[in-house]
Amino acid sequence: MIPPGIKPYHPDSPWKNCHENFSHTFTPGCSWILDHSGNGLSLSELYHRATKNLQWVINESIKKNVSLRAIGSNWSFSPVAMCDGGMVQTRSLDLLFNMNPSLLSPSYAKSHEDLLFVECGAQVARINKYLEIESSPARCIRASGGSSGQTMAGCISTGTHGAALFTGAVHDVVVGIHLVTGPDTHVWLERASYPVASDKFIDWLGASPVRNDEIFESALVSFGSFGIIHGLLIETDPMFLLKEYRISTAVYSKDLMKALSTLDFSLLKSLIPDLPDSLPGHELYHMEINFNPYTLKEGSSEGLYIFLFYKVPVPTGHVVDHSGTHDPGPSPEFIWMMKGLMSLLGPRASYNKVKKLTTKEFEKNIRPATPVAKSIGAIFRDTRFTGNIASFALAISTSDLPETIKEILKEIEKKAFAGAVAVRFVKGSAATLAFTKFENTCVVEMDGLDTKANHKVFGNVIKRLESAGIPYTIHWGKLNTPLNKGRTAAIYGNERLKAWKNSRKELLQEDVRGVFNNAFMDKCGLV
Amino acid sequence: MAKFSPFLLWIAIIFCFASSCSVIRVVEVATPTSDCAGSGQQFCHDTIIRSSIWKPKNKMNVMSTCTTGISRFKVTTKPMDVILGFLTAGFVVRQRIDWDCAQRSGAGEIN
Repeated sequence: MIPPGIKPYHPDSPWKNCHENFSHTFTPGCSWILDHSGNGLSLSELYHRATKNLQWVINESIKKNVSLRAIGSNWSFSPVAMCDGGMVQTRSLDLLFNMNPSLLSPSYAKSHEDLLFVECGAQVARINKYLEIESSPARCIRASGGSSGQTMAGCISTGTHGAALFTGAVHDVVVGIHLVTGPDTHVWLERASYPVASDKFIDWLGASPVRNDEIFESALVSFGSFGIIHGLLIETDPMFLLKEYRISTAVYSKDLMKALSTLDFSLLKSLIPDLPDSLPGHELYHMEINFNPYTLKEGSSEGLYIFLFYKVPVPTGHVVDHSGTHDPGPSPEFIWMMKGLMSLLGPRASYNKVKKLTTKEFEKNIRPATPVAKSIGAIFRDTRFTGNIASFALAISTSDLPETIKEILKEIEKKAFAGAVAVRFVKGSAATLAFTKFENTCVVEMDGLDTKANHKVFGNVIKRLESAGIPYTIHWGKLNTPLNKGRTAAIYGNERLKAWKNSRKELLQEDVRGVFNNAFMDKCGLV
Repeated sequence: MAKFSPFLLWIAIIFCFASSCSVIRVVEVATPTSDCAGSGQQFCHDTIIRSSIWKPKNKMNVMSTCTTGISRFKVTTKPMDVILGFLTAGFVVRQRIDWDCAQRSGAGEIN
C-alpha cells in the first residue's frame, strides 16, 4: 500500500530535461511524486511524513533492484542526476522553517535570524519571495545562480555558482544537511568545525547527528548520489540591493589581464577610471566579463564588457518587486542571440558566416546596466531557454585567466564557435567536488548553439588547457562530455576522490549506494 | 477611403480568426514556481475541456486542484478544434488547458 503523500509517477518517455537539450528513459513503474497533500497535519508533521516517504521510495527501489534519483527542477544540462531506474519528484516538498534560539548549537556564533531551514523542493524563487517580500525584517540569500528556477537542493548538488567573488557559490551558504540515507536511516550532517544545530533541532528531525567536516564537504556537491537531501539549513543575510554597472571602455591588454588575474583593484582602477569604488555601503559583490571571441583584440575595447554589481543598503520605502517583464539578467546566456542565430544558420554555415552573425547578435543583445538597484530575487529570475542551446562551463584559477583566454581565442580562431564567452569570478569552495575549487575561481562559460561544431570546440578547449598545463575543472550541471574517469582523477586528485567515496560509504549501506549510482558516476570513476 | 472588397474582408476575418484561435496563449508570472517538474517545458497538469458556447453555465474551476494557487496557465486551441467549433455551430468547443500549481508562501515555526 502506498502511504499518503506519495503517488506513482509515469515520466514521459523519452523524458527531457528542463532546457530540452537531452532526452532520457526511465524504467516504467519505478517513479514517484511526493507531496504535502492531506488535511489536518501541521507543517512539522508534513515534513516528518515526507522524510518517511523518502525512505519508503528508497526501500521500493531496493526491493525492485532499480536505481533512483530525486528530481527537483530538472535543470541540469547534463544527465548528472539521471538514472536508468526511477525518479522521485520532490518539488512539492516546498516547506520553509524559521529557526529559533533553542534550535541552535551553543557554539553557533550567529543568530537564529541568519538561518533558514529549506525543504528540498523549494525553488530559489520561492525562497527569494519569502526572504525578500514576506519576511520582516527582509533578508536575502547570499549567492545565486543566474536563474531562480532551480531548487536549492539542485543548486548545491551540481555546484551552481553565480559570480559572488567574495562570497562563493550557492552551496557555500549551506551549514547543515538533512539527508535520507536509507529505508530506516536519515542523518543530520554538519561540520564538526562549524556546529549549528542543537540536539532539540536534531530530535525534531528524528535524525542521527553526523558532525564531520570531511563527510559534510563531500555530501555538499554530490549530484544526488549521497541519498536524498530532504532539508538544508542555509545562512542568509539582511537584505541588500545590488547596483549594477557595465563597463565597455576596458581595453584588452596585458595590464588588464594582470589586474583581473590578481584581483588587483587598484591597478584595475588605474586602467579603468570609470570603475566605481568599492566602499562601505557600496561594496563590490559580483564581477563578470563578457566578450565576443571574434572581436577581442589586444589594445582594443571592442567586444569586451565588464559587469559589476555592488552591494548597497536598502533605501527606506523600497518595495521589492519580483514581477515585470523579463530582461536577460546578468547571465551571459545570450538566449536571444541564439534564437536569432538558430533561424539563420544552416548546417554548413561557413566560419565567416558564424563570425559575422555571432558578432552582430552579441552587440545587439549585450544589455545595458539596470539603472536602479534591485534585490537578488528581482535580478536573478527565471531564465529558461529551450532546445538547441549548449551551455558549457569550465573553471580555472583566477591566476590562469590570461592564458586561458588566449587558448580559447586560439581555438576559436581555428574553429567557428557560435556563441559568446563569459568569465565569472567566484570565491573558491571547500566542498570536496566543488568545481569552484580554486581559492579564487574564474568560471569560464561558453554558451552557444547545441551543434556538433560547438561541442567539438568545448572538447578542444579542454585539450588545449591540458596541453598548456592549466589546471581546470568542469561544471557538473552543464554540458560536461569531456569528463571521464581519467580526467576526474586528474582534476580532483585521487586523495579527494577517495575521501568523497569513503564519505559516501560512511553514510550509505552498499544496497543504498547501488540505488544512487548512475551511468554518469560510472563514467567519471565515482562509484 | 478605400472600399474593402467582401472577398478581402472574408480573408481578413478568416486569417484573424485562425491565427488568434490557433496560437498558444500563455499567462506567465515573472518568477514562476511549480509543484513538480514536467518533461522539458511541459506543464505538470493538463485537462481537455469540452464546452459549448450555448451552455448557460460554462465554468471550470482549475484553481480547485491547486491548494497554493496557479503559477502558470496555458490554453491551447488547435486548428482542428476551431474547425470543430465551426462545424458544430459552437455546440462543441474543445480546448486543452495546462497549468502549474505555485509553491506555497510563508514559513513554518519549529516548536
